Amino acid sequence: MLDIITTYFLNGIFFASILFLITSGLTLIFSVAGIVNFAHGCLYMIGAYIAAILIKATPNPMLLPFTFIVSALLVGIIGVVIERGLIKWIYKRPVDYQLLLLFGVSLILQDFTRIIFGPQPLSSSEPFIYSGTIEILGRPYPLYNIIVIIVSFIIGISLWLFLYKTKLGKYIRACSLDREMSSALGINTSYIFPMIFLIGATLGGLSGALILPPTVAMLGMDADALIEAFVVITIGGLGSIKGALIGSIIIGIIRAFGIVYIPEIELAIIYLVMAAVLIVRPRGLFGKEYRVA
Amino acid sequence: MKQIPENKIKKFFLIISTSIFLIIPLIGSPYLDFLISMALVYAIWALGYNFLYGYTGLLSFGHAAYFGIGAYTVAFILTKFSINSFLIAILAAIVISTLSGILIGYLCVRYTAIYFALLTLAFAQFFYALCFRFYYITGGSDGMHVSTPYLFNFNLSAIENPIGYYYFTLFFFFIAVYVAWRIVNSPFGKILQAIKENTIRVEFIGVSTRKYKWYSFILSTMYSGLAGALYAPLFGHVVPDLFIISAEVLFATLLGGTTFIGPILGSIVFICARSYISAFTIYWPFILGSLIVAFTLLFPSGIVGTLEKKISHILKSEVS
Amino acid sequence: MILYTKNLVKHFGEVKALENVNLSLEKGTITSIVGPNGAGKTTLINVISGTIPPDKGKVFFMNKDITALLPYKIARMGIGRSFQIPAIYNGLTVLDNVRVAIISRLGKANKIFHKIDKEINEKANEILEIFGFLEKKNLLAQDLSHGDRKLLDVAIAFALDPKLVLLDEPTSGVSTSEKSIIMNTIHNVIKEKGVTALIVEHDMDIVFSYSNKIIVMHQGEIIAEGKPSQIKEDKNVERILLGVE
Repeated sequence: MLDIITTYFLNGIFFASILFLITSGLTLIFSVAGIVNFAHGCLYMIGAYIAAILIKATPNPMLLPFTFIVSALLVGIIGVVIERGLIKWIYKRPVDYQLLLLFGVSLILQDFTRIIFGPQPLSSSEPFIYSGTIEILGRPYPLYNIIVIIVSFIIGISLWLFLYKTKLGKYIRACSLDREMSSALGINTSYIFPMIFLIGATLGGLSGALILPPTVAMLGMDADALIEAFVVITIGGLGSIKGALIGSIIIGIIRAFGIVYIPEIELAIIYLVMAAVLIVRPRGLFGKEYRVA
Repeated sequence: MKQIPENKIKKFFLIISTSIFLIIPLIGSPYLDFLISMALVYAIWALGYNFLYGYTGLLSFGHAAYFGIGAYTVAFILTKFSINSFLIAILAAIVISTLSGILIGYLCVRYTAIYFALLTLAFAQFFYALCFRFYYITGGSDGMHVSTPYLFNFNLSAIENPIGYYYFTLFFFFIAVYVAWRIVNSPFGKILQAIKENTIRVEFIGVSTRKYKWYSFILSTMYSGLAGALYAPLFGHVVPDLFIISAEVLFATLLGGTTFIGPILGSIVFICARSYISAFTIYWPFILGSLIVAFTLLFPSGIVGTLEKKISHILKSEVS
Repeated sequence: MILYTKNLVKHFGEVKALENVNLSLEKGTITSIVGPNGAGKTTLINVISGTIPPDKGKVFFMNKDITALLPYKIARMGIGRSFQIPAIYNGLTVLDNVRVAIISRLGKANKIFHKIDKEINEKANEILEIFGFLEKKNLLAQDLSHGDRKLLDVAIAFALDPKLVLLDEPTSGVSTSEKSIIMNTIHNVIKEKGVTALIVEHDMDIVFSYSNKIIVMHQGEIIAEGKPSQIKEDKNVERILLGVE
């Protein structure tokens, strides 16, 4: 019994790891640049598609970890291009414009994906299969999942170290607290913003790449990811990486156990949780933005 | 230069446009009837959407939900329940979509811009997913065929009787416009405009802005439901994708600008452009997205808004 | 006593914005609140008007406990306010700015199908006339001068036909000539309608000319209150006010 529960628990942490990567990217972009990146789900989706192609194109299994990195970085570059090309014109405009612009961008990216990769789902499960399984409490568990959890953990720690222990990280945190003040103090915001989009988009692309091997890359996965990330943020608050972590874990666990015990309303569970949190704690757990009208 | 009073210009424009609408079927092909009927459907949808966006200042990304609910309700009543009275179907569609609006709106208006937008999107996605989950009722990704509606004993099939369908739609369009006009110029309408300009101030003159945002939301969903109801027999088929086309009404409104007639004009241009563009390219969503981006960056006031500014600019410089 | 507060306390983290504030206002009087920046004046107005709830203490208006009621409810009870940064509807005309308040006051906000009727227009024009906006009524609020914007904000507060009006620095940022116009207008309306006024002000000339009572605040506490003549004599007050000027 305990062994089965542990399996589900690990699944939950696996989902949480992926969610954390997506959501921390979203949170970073919002905290520092003040932009709610509506196109983030698309970045995740593109990451998955690129990974699908690259994995199939990699002859040597030893190089596979690099395909993930490359996929993530390619998405990161797309993020910077969007930022420098479009987003930088609307920083000073009201929130509506940002939402509209990014909504348009997400449409473009969605169709871009369909045009380049085709309408059929793509899969490349080699990394998942080749990793095999390890025994946990007497039951086999995919080693791939454990690796993803560890990678996500490492990235989380690195992110924390970067933000809190490096000079650049401190600049970034200063920007997130007060944008105008920071530029008045001479911090060069025209470097910081593209960099944040690079990091945020890379995280988004990475999460898509990592989720690919056990699943498939398909059109529409962007909307699902965006909504889930949104639910995480609702719980953890927009603008808090710590909140993103806790929210991801909560949603991941709920999802892992929900699929097993109550499959009929699996999709509804996410929405119910979101509605419940919104009603009970409108500010999320750690949110820095007050959102009640 | 003699100044033509603004009122006379407006009346002139009103008469001309009404006449054009009335004589279209007499001079055009059935395809044109179909096209303009679709434009009117979207115009009704956009009119309602504009209550929320243009007048109250709330941006929703999920208004396709109520459009879809309206469309599916009509499909159910006409096809599944074999009640072929169009009027009953439309009534049911409006009731159900408005009820959804009441419930969902109640939750959504408690939140500010970003969360409001995301919540409305989430609900639309939710209905979209429901369509697939309950595929045995809704027909899943294949959707449902919509049987011929009847108005009393008149066959109102959009295929067999495009002119009849057109006038029927036009009738509802005129009513929708008239009602919207009354609402927008009423005390209630002014309150909504004030909420968009300065929500906090409105609280301090004794109005619960949450309540009025809710009312505005409800109105917009009513219009969306009506639009969806008129859409269903026109297209003949309903599919789950109807729940995720919120971008279209948003763009039609943006395109035309958030004045009163902006959404109407925007819808007409949008539908014509869409049918023209989709005829020779499969990249319609890409183009739509690019257009939204372009309009947001370059023409925030939309066609009508930008035109209005240019015209008043010209008028002012001529007078002085 | 039309309004009184009991031991209001409000802290923002370490900052003691209000510390045991007891205030009472007599009907029909003009009371000014003065004090250096950060003394808690605006916080006091915010607490009374329901913008922020106090940590401790109560507010009573016409013998009803209005502590931490929602702002719109407090407004409905007859308390109007104006803001340091004019809270007006920039995209609407001056006429509409006032009409919106009248619509609310007459309870006609939910009239969806009716036109904007004679009653609304008449009452709106009354207010416009009192505040001298009749000629400017079709101008957009955003095109007004700073002084006019402040006055419009005050006009909106009065359009509610309030029993108590809270004005937060109604003449700040305004040229000296406009100041007296604004204050005269306000003073006349107050006296004519028998409205009670609580005004936050920095300009001591105005304060001494128009107030029935002056309250001096410093670091969240009321350190002196009394008639203008009394306050003028008070050395303590002089020290505090001059020390920062």
